Amino acid sequence: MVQGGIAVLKRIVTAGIALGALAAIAGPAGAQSFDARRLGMGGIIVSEVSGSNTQNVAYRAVPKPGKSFAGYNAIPLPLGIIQYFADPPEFDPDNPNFNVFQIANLLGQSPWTLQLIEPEELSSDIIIDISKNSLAVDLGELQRLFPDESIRYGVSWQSPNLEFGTPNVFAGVRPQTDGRMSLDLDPALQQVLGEAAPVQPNSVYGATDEVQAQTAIAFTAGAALPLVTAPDAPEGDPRRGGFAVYAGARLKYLSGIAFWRADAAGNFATGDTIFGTTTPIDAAYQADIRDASDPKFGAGTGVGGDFGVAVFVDKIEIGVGVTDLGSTMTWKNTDLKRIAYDSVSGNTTTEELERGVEYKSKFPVTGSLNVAYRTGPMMFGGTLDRTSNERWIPRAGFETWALAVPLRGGVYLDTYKQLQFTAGSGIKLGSIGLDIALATNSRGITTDRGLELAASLALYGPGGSE
Amino acid sequence: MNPTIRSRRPNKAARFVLLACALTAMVAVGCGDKSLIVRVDLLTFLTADEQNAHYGPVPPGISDSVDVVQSRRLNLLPGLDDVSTVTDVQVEVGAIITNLTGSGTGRIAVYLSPADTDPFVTDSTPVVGTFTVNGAMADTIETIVVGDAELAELFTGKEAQIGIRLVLDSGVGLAPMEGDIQLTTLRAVVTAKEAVFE
Repeated sequence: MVQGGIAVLKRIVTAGIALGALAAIAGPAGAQSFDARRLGMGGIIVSEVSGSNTQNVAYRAVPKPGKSFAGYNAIPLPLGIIQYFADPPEFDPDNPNFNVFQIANLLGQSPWTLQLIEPEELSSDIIIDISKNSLAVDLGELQRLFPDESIRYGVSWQSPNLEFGTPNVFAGVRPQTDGRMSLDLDPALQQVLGEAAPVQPNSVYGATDEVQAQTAIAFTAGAALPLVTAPDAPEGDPRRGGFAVYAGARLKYLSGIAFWRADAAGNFATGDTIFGTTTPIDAAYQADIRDASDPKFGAGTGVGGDFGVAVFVDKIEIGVGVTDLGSTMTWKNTDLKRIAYDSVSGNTTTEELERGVEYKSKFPVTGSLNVAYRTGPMMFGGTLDRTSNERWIPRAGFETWALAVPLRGGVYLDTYKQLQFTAGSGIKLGSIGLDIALATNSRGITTDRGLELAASLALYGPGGSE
Repeated sequence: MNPTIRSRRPNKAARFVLLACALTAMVAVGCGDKSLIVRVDLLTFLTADEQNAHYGPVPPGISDSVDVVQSRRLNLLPGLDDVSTVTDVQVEVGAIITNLTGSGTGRIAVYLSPADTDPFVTDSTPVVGTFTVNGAMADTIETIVVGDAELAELFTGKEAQIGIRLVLDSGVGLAPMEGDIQLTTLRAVVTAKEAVFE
């Protein structure tokens, strides 16, 4: 009985740690841009960077940059894939070189960036102190895996975003996939793991976990219009002066394909004496798992929208973009089952609670608030990103041009609130340019910073820096 | 003395807590070149009776022994054997000898053996701390022993057997050797490396 329970707990704990590690590895990955120009500026959004209208639909209506500013389309170069094939990890678990953490680290590595300097892995020892009425676990630097807040991981894919039409009226199609995990340790358990607090007698330690993944195809249609134009701005470019306001909306019809969700909770209790002889145990785990019973195109339907506003006031640019506001899916047929472990019986049970039931789910609301100021060849900007794992990421950066050579720099706080630095440059030769960026990161289970290189081809339209 | 075996096994909650901590630590240790260090204060698992013993009177020229802790089960960290390679084991033993009468030498020996074996028979190389007394006096024993591969292997199991024996050699003289012993330290420090993912 005990061994069965241990096996279950082993799975739970391993999954929990894996989720925590996954969040540590992959969480910060979402904080980076693929576009080397944007990455060099700390990942800020401004109206002229590639892909800005995906995050703020109002930017579709903003005129292309004038002659003094570089507007372009970026094609990121997949430097990370080259690195992967040059030194692939071992996938055969029977091979002595097999290392599951190397494979896990793949999740945190971007195919678009070349890792120049790997961050040092944490090196402190793990110490467990055990006595009859005391248990303390000092994870050392790994305590960062268990912060005093929810451990969240979220990814959202909405590319390729295929849109057709004019800057003002458009329609398109794109995949829309969302994966989220939110692990909450209760304060007592967080202190045990995150702060090396001793396990106390007569205490309950628990955790809850919420995982959801869903994918759909989004058919979009929208409009982005100038509400106030700046006819007196140099070359009609509102970035260079005057007052202008733009607004846009992108409505979505979502055709759901697959859905999976789990709500889990587990706990254990200590008795009068932690390692006593008479205290009964209470260890329990329960997971409610719901999924679309028949994944297929049209398994669910939904609607939602992206909305944005951009305001230009005397060379100051302010943008607010919100994506997936109210994006809600209705899944026609879902099944719900409950998996539970009870240490009293020592049994793991699976019970079907619902079958063929309609269920509603939401896509996470993401967004950005960005501000930029331009003077002469300089542009300074800042962005506050709201990510799909419900984190706020502040960014700041600048760009200046000396003839055909840009100089960029930036900083941002990653999801662990660690300051990261970026820098970039490149060259523009006529209508084609090459941008490169260097960026630090602390992906993986580390507090150290690594350094990676990104590169993009830039295809410039009319205007641009000369 | 307390010969209880089953009744002194850590309960299932303790096993769960231990396993959770062990797995947490194991996965953590697997993340880099780190060690898992488990420090078990074995003394706290002994009853007050097991931490103290009276010896003697042992007539001059006679040898005798007292089992301070009779053979009993010792529960180790569950799961350690599955996910780690023990690289080092250190056993620390401390005691205060309060001799009342007589003189002689003695040694306190900690025997460790695999579960369900008699440690006093199986363990031929116990952890030993020695002392010499002469008349009414107090002496302190502090011994730290770095275990060999055999002992290291022992600590990868879920359970082990422990026994502590005080062996006395009463010296020549008129007074019998008699006194008390109080265990002050009994700690195992196990250093392990993660092995499951490599």
